[in-house]
Amino acid sequence: MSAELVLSGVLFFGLVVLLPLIMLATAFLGPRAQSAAKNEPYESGIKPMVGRADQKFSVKFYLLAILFLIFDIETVFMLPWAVSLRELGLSGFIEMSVFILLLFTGLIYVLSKGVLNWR
Amino acid sequence: MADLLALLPLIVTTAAAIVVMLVAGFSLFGREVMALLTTGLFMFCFFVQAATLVSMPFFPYQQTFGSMLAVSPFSGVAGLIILACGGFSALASQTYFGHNKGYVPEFYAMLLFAACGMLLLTMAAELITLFIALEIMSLAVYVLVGADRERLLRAEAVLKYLMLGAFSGGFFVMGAMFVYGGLGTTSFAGISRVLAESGLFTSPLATAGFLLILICFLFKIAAVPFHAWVVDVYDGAPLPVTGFMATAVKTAVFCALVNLLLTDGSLLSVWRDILWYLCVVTLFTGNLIALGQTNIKRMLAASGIVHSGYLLIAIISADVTGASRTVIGFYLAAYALATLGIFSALSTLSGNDEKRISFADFNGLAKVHPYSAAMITVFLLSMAGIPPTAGFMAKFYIITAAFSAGQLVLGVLGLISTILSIYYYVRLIAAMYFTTPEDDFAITGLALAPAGTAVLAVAVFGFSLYPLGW
Amino acid sequence: MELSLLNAFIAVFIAIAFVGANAAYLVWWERKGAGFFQRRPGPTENGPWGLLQPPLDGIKLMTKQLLIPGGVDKAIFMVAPVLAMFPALVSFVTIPFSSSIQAHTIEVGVLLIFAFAALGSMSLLVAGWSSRNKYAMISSIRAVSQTVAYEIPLLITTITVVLIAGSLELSEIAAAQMGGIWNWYIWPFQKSAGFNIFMPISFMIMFICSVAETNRAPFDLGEAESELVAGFHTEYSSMGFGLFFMGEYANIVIGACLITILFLGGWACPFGDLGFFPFTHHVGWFLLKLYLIIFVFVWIRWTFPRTTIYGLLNLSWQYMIPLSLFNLLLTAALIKVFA
Repeated sequence: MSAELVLSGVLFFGLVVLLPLIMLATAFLGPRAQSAAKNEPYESGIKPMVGRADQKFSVKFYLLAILFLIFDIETVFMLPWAVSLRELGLSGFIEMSVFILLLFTGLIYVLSKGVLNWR
Repeated sequence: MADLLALLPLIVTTAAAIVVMLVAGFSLFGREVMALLTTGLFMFCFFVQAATLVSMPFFPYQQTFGSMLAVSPFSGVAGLIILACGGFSALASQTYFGHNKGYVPEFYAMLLFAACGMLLLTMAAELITLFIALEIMSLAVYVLVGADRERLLRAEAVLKYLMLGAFSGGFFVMGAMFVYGGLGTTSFAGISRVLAESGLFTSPLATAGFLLILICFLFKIAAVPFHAWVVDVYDGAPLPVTGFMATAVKTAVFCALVNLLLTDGSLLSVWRDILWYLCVVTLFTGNLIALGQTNIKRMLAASGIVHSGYLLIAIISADVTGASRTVIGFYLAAYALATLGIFSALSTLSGNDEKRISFADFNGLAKVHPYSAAMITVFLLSMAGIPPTAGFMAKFYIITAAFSAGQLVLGVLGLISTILSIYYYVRLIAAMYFTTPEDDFAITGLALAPAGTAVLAVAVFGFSLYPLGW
Repeated sequence: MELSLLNAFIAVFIAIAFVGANAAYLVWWERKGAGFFQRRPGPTENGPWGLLQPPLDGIKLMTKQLLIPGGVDKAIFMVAPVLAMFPALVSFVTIPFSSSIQAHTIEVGVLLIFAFAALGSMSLLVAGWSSRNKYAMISSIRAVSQTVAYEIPLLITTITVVLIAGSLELSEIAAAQMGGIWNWYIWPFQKSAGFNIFMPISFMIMFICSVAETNRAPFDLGEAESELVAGFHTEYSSMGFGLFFMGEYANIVIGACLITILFLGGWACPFGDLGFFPFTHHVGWFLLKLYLIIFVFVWIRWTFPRTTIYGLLNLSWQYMIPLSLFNLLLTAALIKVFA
């Protein structure tokens, strides 16, 4: 019960009240001038001419995101295993080794296909 | 340790798949060597599976890994069929990619990964394991269908298959969730136990869940009304992949369906009426679609729907004894032999970019390649169920089983459907033998598919002699 | 200490005050450090040694206009700075400053910190996406792919330590390293680690990943000012920018706290249990180690030139992740052999 209390206290004060308040304070303290120049995206004082903000970007980043997902899930599986390794016996170690090696083979395959070859 | 021994074929297949994946990643071997390597690995896995099947003392439904998986003679035989399908498809793709674009080395790794999923599917004794196996298989098959992104036909096929397959997977998970919510268990044995105690319709959640699971299965076996994808997808996929999908996927999914339904028969007794109607509709809709096709691939896809219908007859008239499983296993094997054979032959004969694919393209094949034409004829006759082929024996066993189970109407309808189906099979035979050749049917390069085709043609006759103890 | 509502609020306020003070004075510390490394005095004008600079900066930021340019996705644009600051605040709840000073003991403290760290990288993406600015967009893609890449070796190395300590609770991990500097996990040949020789390498991976996770030089590709103006917070002014800035420094403190607890024994005295010395295991040791590590962060920032984004991502995927995975398996095997 108490853990939830502390966390919800932090959540409440941090997210719901305090931080937006700090941000909104500037709305009262600061100036409120508006002009056409202030409305443009900031590009070092030059009018945006080339490209758009929602342009395409390299598909490699997408591949990296997928790769991250796989390894992140792997680490999630490893956390409870790490805590109870001493009780699990030898089979626990071997099973996790197989799991890690399988995913590692996947990483080797990905590297061999040149996902990280940026040129 | 006994658990691991029972899983040995699956472990070997997975290891083989990973090896092929790494070999493909580093591009160690060329196209031909990859095909041979994969065929060899499939053969090795086949022998491991056979050795495991023979050497282990089997009881019906031996539970392994805390009843997540169950190894039975039926799952073992289904595994043998699947691995054989993989081997022959790899052999056929060696020839196919000799005169077709779209080869990627990972093709063979995907073939093996799909086989892994299928082997797991045949052994699954629990809904969540079943779903994981289903997805391993499906994801690999999606890639196999759509690996050649350049061709519009492939893109269309993979899009249809992926979208609908993802939906059916979603239905399955949703169904498994409802079943778990309603019955408190996901294992087949547990489900049967609860159903035997209280009956299905006491839990509306479980009723809805089973309906959703049924939808997923009907989609995967391409039964009416979930058959719409099958013609386009089979048409769009590369020929060896179409053969692999038509045989191995069907075998694996039917094996899982039989495992689910026939654990002790209480689920089947609830579903029998629904399946009866669906089966009849499947038989005749499939025939109707096949009658109108001019493209051999599309015709074979539609005839695949009909064959699913025959297998549904076998399931409807099944009881919990091993004999029903034997009949289904025999039909799956006979169907796999003929279908693989014809796709293997087509892989050789279709030429550059599958240019020869309609009935008219094969006019007069018998004058140019008499042996190829003869073998295709054998496969078609086996699919139509003409004696003395394996297909005849398989249909004979199924119809007999239907009669002896008291499903007279279903048996007669099955016979009528067989007679209807003869028309479109014989149409291709007639085109090959009774017309003059317009094409030279040139085959270029080293072609191993004909060897596989010949083996399969002999097997079609040989397998019909296999004595079915019943 | 019994935990009541009042205690909880006090703990929360202390955490927020600690974060705020740290974030403010770390800026001063960084500018003084930069001055020191570049042989110039740094801020001197406001107060003795420029010590009044941070509060005055804060007031200045408060009284600037919070500009929302046309075309931005307003709701997301406003949420992003809060999202940057918020996870850092929550993470402080689990950090044990000494055996008695901890807002709340959470059994999965490590997991909680990493979960909120992932939320922090969300704020980068959201800020860049909603800004409708090319530079912000590119920067956020870079920054997220970087945080994401370095989160994995960081997690795996943390799991190695969890493996040795056998607990996900930060205070227990620190308590397992009591009794002298030789018991800290940074050293090789720990008995509890199965005499693993690679523990210093684990520490190095952890350290490098912490630098990269907090998007600091030499890994500050996300806000490479020579190419991307100011990175993902280009369009933010006033306290919007201020919250990003504070969040960044709060994250640095969190990273340094993690390193202190996981590898440097937390609040443990380096000389072991000295019966006559009153401050054997004291929060002072924790803070000393913490600020030493932060000093090294500053030192690195003003010493090394910036890397390329490709080199950065490849460093993680090709070297850090295989190395940390190998180290994890080795540690597990050694623990199996010796325990």
